[in-house]
Amino acid sequence: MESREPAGTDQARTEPIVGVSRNLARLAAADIRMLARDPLLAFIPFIPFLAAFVLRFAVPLLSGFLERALGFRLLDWADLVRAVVLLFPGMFYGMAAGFLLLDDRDDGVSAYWGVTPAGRAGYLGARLGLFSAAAFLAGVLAARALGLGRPDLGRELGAAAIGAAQAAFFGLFLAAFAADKVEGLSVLKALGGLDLAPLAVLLALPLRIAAWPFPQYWAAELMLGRNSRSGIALVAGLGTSALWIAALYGKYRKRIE
Amino acid sequence: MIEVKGLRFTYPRAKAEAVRGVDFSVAAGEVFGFLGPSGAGKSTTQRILLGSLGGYSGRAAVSGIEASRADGAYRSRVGAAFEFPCFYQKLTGRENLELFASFYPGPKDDPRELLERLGLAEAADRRVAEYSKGMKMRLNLIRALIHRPRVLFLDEPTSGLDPANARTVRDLVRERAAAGAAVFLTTHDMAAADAACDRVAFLVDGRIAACDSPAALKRRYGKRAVVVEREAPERDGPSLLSPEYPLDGLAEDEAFRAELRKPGLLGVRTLDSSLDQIFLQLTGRELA
Repeated sequence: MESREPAGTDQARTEPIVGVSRNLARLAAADIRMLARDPLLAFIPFIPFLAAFVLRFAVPLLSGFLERALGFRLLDWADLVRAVVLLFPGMFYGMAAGFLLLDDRDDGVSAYWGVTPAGRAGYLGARLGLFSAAAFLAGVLAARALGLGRPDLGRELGAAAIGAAQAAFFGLFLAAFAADKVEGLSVLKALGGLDLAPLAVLLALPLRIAAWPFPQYWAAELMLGRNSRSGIALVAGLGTSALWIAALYGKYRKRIE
Repeated sequence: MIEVKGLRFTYPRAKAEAVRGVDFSVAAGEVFGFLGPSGAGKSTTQRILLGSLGGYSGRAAVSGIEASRADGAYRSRVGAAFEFPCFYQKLTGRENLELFASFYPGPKDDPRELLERLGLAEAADRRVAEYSKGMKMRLNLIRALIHRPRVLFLDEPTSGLDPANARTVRDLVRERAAAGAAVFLTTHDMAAADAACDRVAFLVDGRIAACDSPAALKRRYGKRAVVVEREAPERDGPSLLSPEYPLDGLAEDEAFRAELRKPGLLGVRTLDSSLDQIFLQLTGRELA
């Protein structure tokens, strides 16, 4: 083997520490491979689209049935269904990210990232960022696949942004509170109640206040514009997401240290 | 390259200090062995130097940068192989190497060459979950070397390896030192330390009890004397050892010269201490 100049020489120091886009592409490729090779996780990325297609046909059928039986027209609430569909990818992609983080912790990989230039926080941010970006894109596409409600790209992008933040929320929640994948499934059941948060837009004050801490509620407000201005709903949705993520990151750090 | 001076550290809620005023330095091109029983403070010192553990007092610096200020640039100069190799189990060996290497700046080694050298070329495209402990240890070393670090932290790098692979690992470590890297090697394997290290330090209860080259330590803790070994009179019996002859004046020692003239001479042994014996003497503990 020929003689080698150690890294950290002048040439190496003048290069940027991390070629961000190249590294993110590598990490994204690795995460996709790991998802594809895990029988439990391989189908998760497609579930939001499957759900959107099912709802596309099921909601009109159900609406007709309910209108005949109870005089209730479900299609009048198609924007609410659209909001839920926009949030789906955040939840499912966050689950996948959380399960990968649990694997990392079990395998000791998360500790190893701490001695690399990325650092633990950088690696975690990159991974959650990738899943959030995927959730954002998937949310917009799933809403289009649903095809119900009034298309409004501005509102959809806002709700998809809140949904994207949920990927980080769910990922960190799983990694912070579950010891392994089995416990992770239990944690997910406990989080299932968050699916109902968008329905709180139908409640009157002061009951509706109970849903204010949950970003999912604000995504529904943004889509329906029923009780709040869209700007306020967007800021509230992103703000509550940031608070939850900061709190969960603190809990996750304590768990891995 | 590595400079440690008056290093002290106490874990939160612990009554005693884990590291109690440690001083040493490791120069470029040097392999420095950090030896000691479990709980002596070896891993704590290593974690501090890797920038993973703050809250210490004293100096702990790599390339002049204090470990408490370790950032991406600091960690890009460092390569680390922990005792328990950790990888993405669902990725192949090659995929793991490429992923981790991509986060380091500067020129890198060709993973194929290193995989070949360490006997992992054929397993490179198998998932790490299918690797044996020894294969993971070798992959662990490759990951630490691939970005050509200026400072290498190796924790039990030959653990779980057969003698041939252990030798390859030692050779690679020596080559990197010859190319200018400073190597900080933590191990219980005294033979590996003896073979690979320019200097070793014995850490006992958070303090360095002895630090020198293996040869100097073996002389210091051994006897300045030799014994002559001869064949046993009966077949398959144990060889015979002469009385000890002091090194001082050995050439003029008539009894020693007479011993050499006796039939059945097998060899002459110095009574240097081994690193195992020094470990036992300094720590009062047997090696696990």
